[in-house]
Amino acid sequence: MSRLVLLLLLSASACAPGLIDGPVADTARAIAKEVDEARLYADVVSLAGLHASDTRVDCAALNSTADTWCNLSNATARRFVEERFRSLGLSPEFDTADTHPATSNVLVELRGTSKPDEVILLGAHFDAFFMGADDNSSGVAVMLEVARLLATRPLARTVRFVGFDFEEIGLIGSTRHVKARSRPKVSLVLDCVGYSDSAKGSQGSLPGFPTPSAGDFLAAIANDVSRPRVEEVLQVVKGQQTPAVLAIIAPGLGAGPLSGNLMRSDHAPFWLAGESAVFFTDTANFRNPNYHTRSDVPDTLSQAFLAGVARATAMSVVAWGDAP
Amino acid sequence: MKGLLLCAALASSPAAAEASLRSRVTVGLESLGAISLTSARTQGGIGGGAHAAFAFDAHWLAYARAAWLFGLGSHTLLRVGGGWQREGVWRPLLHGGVVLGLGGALDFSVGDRPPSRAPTLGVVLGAALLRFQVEGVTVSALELEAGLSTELIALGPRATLTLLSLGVCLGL
Ligand SMILES: [Zn+2]
Repeated sequence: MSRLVLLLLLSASACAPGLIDGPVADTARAIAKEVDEARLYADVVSLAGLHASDTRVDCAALNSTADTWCNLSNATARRFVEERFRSLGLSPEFDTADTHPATSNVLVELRGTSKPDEVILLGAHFDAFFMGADDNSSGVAVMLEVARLLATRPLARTVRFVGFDFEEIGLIGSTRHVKARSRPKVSLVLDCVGYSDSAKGSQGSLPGFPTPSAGDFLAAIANDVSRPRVEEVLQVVKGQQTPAVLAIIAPGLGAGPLSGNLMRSDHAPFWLAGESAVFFTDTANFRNPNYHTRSDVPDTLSQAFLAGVARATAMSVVAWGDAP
Repeated sequence: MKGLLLCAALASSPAAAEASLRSRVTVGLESLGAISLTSARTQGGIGGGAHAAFAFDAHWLAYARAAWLFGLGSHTLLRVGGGWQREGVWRPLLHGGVVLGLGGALDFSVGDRPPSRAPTLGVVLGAALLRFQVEGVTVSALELEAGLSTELIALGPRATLTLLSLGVCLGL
């Protein structure tokens, strides 16, 4: 009896059977090697520069004249994403709605070759406070880099790239997207993915979160629904040139009172709808002292970390997109 | 035959020697909070549960407890063990047992190891010092239990605080 219990426990603790077999992982890793670190960082610099000079959102209309809210912008960053999609030969769509303020996500789809009805979503919000280098020009740049790598190389499944609008006001763009669009098989959301600090004590945490003390890992956050997807991420990035990945699984849908900090970005509406979504982040204000301030500027970011996140993102999307 | 005097207050009863099986069994309800912390899992919450205990004699007993806790999702806590209790109205209990935690938790990868899918296992020692028994009714407050926990990746501390526990002897 005790041997049976031990066997059951050991099998439960083992890594779930991987959907990411040899050739799929090999392809994913080969594509990830093409990540261009200099281009990525240049995109962050461009996006941050656009935010710096962009017209600000009317903060009085948001019932706040606080410095942060009066330095929120979205329009030129969206145009940058749109133009980049067009330069890749893709035709972006917009889903404008007057949500006070108006929101308009920008999205494109790379149609899958053999399972076009199954969608893998990669998204990042393009609105930002101040220059928003880490939050979230970093995420937008990684999304655009993966779009560049895949634009001429479609996967088995359709890949949808989405620039989400007004995450900062309350996940408006992603919430609208979840309500309006067909459900992706899995979504990967990027928010704050460029700040790294290897010094001990640089990583903040919360009670019950046994995070490392050095803030140089990438957090890959899932809930019970998306747990297998994070297991696949760990599988495909193993031994590759990425930051160490710390997987965090929130219980249930993730909406419990003690795990609320894990729901602070555009993956949350997917979770609440019962969909599978994974969130990549440098943990934002738990690591980056420049979060939501004027000092969130490009030269505070780590180019190597950002490139490593882009590789992890590319590998994950390709693995999910081509998995049997 | 005092050694057979069990959950019901039969210590002074002439029926002690014939104590039935029922008089050995106590069932009850309890409110509690529990936490288990390892580098691979945080599991905890507050809630309520039920317990049953079987008394072998006036001092030694075995118990089984099931609780349903909410906080980090919801999880079920199953505990079995045994212990020693003092005879008399003031009936402090010292006990030890094993714990199984099933369900919601915050799970973390550790190095290359993915987050565990195994249940939480634990061993605990406990003390119920504010425990009293009158006429087969047992009341216990602020019972503390502490020990070690694992999800087969890492090892860490665990603790349970039973705020209030009420039990009734079936042989009443
Ligand atoms: Zn953000």
